[in-house]
Amino acid sequence: MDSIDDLFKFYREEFLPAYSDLVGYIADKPTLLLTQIESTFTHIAQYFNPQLNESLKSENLHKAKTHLIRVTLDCYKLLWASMHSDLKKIEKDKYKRKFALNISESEFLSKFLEFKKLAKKARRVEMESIGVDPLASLEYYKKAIEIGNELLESVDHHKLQELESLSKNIKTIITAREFLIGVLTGIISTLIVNQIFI
Amino acid sequence: MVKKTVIFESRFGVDINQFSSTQEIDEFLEKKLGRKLRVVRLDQGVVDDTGNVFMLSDYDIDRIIDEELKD
Repeated sequence: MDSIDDLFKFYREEFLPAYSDLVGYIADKPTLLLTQIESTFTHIAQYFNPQLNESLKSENLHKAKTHLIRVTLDCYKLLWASMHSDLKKIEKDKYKRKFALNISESEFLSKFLEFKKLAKKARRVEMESIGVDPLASLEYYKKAIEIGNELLESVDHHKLQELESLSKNIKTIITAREFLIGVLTGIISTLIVNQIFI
Repeated sequence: MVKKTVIFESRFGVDINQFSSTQEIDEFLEKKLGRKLRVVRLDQGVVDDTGNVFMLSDYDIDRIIDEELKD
């Protein structure tokens, strides 16, 4: 990225798709992004500061680029983490895995493993590419997110809602049963004590 | 030509080339959602297996991912 035009080209071609994917998924704006976007803007403002010499301007352009690359990668990382958190709720619950999916349980589990493996690969590539190619891991994160999205699309929200409602009812029944057992035990104990001592 | 998104375009049935700023994306999403987008701390929702919320500093997304990938 050599010029300010290249920086804005990167903004349109790489950052905006990443941003739209994340904000479109979580339906909110994470503070982490805003901090980096603000830092990018600050360095761009300095690049246009007439009081700075060419060397300092160039340094600021480079820093703006670094922040923009970082925030682009962070969009995918945050998206992966959000998806993982949502998928884990299914993965950890055997009833949801069995009854709330439109794919088989084994297919879900094998894709969930792939979803994690790709993120691990992305992290490894990212660590190996520090200072060389900071965007080298981008495609791995994107692939992981594609799989995560497939998994989320396999969730039958109607079935999931029914299952959650059923589970709530069962919990209510269990709680009511435990309450009744407690009351009955109390009554029986009182009767026994009365029989013994009175 | 702007590169394709992973989920945004298919989910909302739009072309990312129609958008040239985050503001335009926000306005589009707000119209779809019927509410303003809120600024949130994502790390507040990240909990470990024992239910502890990770106390994260300003920029710990790498830690979030590493924690999630540990098991």
